[in-house]
Amino acid sequence: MNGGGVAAFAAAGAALSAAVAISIVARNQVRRRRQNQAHARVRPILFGILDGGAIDRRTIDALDPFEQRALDAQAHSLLPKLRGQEKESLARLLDRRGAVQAAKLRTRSRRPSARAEATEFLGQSGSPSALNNLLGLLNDPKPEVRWAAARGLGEIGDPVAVSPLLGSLEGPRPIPVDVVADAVFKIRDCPISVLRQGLKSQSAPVRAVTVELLGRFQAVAVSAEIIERLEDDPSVEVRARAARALGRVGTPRAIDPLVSSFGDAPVALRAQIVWALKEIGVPEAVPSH
Amino acid sequence: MKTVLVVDDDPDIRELITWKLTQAGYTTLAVGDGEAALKVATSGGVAGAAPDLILVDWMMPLMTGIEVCQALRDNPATERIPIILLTAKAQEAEVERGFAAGVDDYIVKPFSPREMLSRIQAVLARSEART
Repeated sequence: MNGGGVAAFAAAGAALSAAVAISIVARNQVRRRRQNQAHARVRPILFGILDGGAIDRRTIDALDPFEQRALDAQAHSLLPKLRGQEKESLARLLDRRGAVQAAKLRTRSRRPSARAEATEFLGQSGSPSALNNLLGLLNDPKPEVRWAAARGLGEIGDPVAVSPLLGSLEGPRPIPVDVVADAVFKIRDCPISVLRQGLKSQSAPVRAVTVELLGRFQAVAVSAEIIERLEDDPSVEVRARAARALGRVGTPRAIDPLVSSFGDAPVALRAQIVWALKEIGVPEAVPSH
Repeated sequence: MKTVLVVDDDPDIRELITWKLTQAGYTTLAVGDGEAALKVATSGGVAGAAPDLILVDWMMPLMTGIEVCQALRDNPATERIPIILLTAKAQEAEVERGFAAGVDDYIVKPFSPREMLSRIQAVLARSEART
C-alpha cells in the first residue's frame, strides 16, 4: 500500500470509530430519555400508593414492561429512604410484584455481593415472611451478608430474633457488638428478661451488648445488675458500656458506684463515667484526680 | 399559598417531597444543591418573594445543609426564614450542631413523609405566630 492508501485507510478507520461512538452516545441518550419518561409516567402511581392508595393490579398490568421495570426500580430505590406507613405501602407493593420472593432465592446465590444485596433488601422490606431466611443468613460465610441479616432482623422487629442475634456474637463467624446492639434496639418488644440473662453470659461480647441495650432501653429495674457489671466485670469494654448505660438510665443510685469506679480506671472507662455523671445531672461529682 | 424550597441532592427524595407538598396545597421549588438554594432564597425565587420555609438535606455536595443554614442566617434578607434540616445524623451532638446553626426543626432519615408534613405545618404555624 502506498502513502496515499495508508492515509485513506486511517481516515476510514477514524470515521468508522467516530460513527460507532456517536451511535453509542445516541443510543444511550435515547435509552435515558425513555427511562426518564417511563419514570415520570409511573411516579404518580407509585406516590399514590405511598399515600395510602390501593395497589390496583389492573393499572400496574396495563403498564408496558419498560414502565413496570421503572416502577420496581423506583420502589426499590425509595424503600431504604422511608419509614412509617409509606414504607409499609412500598414493601407491600414490592411483595406483590414478587420482589421479596425473588430476593429469597437470590440469598442462595454463589456470589456474596448478590447474597448481601438480597439480604439487605429482605430486611428493608420488613416482610415477616423473611424472618427464617434472615435467621439462617446470620451464619453466612461472608461478614457483609451476616451484618445485613442482623440489620434486617432489627427492621422486621420480631422478638423471636433476640436470642439468635445475641448468639451471633460468638462462634467462628461473629457479628460485631454494635451491629447486634443496633439491630436488637430496633426490636421494640425486646424481652428484657433475655437481656438480663445475657449479663451473666460467659461471653464478654454478649455481656457488652446486653448491658448496652439495657441502658438504651432505660431499664431502671435492672440498674443493680448494671452496677454489678461496672464494678466487677473482667472486661474493660463491658465496664465502660455499663457506665454509659447507667448514664442513660439516669438513676441517682449509680452515682456512688460510678465515682468509686473512677479511681485507677483506664481512660476509656473514665470517659464514660464522666459522661454518665453529667447525664445523671451531677457533673460536679466527677473526681478531680 | 405558602412556598417551600426543597433542597436535596437525591432526586427520588426531592420528587417525593415535592409531590407530597403539592398535594397538601403548598407551592414548591426544588433544587439539588446548597448554592442553588441560596440563589433561589436570596433572589426571591417565587414571584419575587422569599420562600416561607426551607427544607434542606444535611449531606450534600458543594455545601452541606449546615453551611446553607449558616449562610441564610447571616443574610438579613433570609435570616428569618424557618429552616428544617433533613438528616441521617440523629446523635445528640449533631442535633445540637444543627440547632446551633439556626435550624428550627429537623427530620431524621429514613423519614416519614406524613411526619414531615406535620413538622412543616407546625414550624410554619410557629413562624406565623412570631410575626
